[in-house]
Amino acid sequence: MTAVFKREFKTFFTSPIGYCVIALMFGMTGLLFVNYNLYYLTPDLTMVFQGLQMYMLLLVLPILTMRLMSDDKRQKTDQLLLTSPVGLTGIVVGKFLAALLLFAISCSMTLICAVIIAFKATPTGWSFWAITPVCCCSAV
Amino acid sequence: MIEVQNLTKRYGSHCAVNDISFKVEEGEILGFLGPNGAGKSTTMNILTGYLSASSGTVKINGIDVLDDPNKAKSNIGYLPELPPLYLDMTVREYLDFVYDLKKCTINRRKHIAEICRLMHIEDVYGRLIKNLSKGYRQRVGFAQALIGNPPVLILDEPTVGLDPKQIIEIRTLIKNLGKHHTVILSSHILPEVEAVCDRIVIINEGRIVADNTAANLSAEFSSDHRLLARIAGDEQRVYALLKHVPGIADITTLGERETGVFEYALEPVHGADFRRPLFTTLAKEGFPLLGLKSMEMSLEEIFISLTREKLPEATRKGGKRK
Repeated sequence: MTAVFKREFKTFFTSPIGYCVIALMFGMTGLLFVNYNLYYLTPDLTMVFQGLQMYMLLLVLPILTMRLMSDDKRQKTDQLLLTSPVGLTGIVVGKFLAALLLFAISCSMTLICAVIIAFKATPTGWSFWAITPVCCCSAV
Repeated sequence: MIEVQNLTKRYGSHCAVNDISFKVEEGEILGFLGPNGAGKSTTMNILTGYLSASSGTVKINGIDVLDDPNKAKSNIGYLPELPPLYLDMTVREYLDFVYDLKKCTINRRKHIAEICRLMHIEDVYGRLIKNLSKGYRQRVGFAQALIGNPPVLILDEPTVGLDPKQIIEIRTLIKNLGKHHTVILSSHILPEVEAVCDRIVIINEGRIVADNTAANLSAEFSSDHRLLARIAGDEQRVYALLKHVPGIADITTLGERETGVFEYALEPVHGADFRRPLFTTLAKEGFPLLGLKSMEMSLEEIFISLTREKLPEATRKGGKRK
């Protein structure tokens, strides 16, 4: 399972996918943060998360996950994975964790936003954070 | 060691593998022959756990593939027809990945270096697999099968795409591996199968039509055990001389092949080998023996005759045979 996880995670960075996704999410977070929090001077992060949600669900998650299983099937490398001692569960979990980690990295910009707010006030709107893992699970 | 019993695989109404059973002992190299579409690759995929059978059992080293698939798979090294290579990885990364995937415990650096040395892929160790030629890709695929020193090796056409020098190297390698591993080798190159394998299984339309050593198959299927001899010299005198050679039951003159050289078909007395007395008799009288050929069926001829006949409809559909 760790072998599959390491390989899939590395693949995200040998192709443009990983970089594009992280760039997109960082960009959007930054934009939303500036627009809603810095401009209107509110410590409420809900709008940032709400804005991100659309991009997350529609763009980022399919980009990350649609290639995971189908690419192996197309290249016939699933034969290597399925005939190895790692069971199907191990393979799926490994791939899921790789996508989850990349997704977590791309969402990490919001933490930086929260830290910036925390210097002057208490950030609110954390309930929306729960959406993130739910989205991830649904995509996989 | 591999045990297959009553293996069947159905795709809808089409029966790809129909009730086959065979056994491969430890340290044996089994040749798996068959025309395209006969069910060779399907059987190999079922053995390695990639496909599941419709019915029947497969035991690898005593472990049923369905009872404990992970343990069974850790005993197998598989080289499929199309080597499963990740084109975006380098050879180094790929072999490391396979090493982790197979959960090996042998010293990583030494083991992988040893396999690279065996397969002669040290030169391309750092190259992307995408940039390798077919021959190198095939060798990387073979290297992947060898990682972990699995006791059972299943090789589907391992020498396809290799140049003649590499083919000979791989053949020697397989013969050496066969001493300590159980090997199933599938190939279309019949001389290779004859040279490398201890036993041969021929499969046609999902059924096993032959399961024996090459020599036994030849003896079993050949009806003609005669030897063709080309002898230079006067036909009458040679004929008279041949009648006195012990072990020859019947002589048929086939005619003149070159000037002064005649061909004779010599039928042996059952079980007798008359080649030495033939040579000494002819040499004593001064008649040169220019050629001696067996008329027994070659593996190629046996294969073609066994796979030429289409099995009757009832058995082909996989229904119960009365």
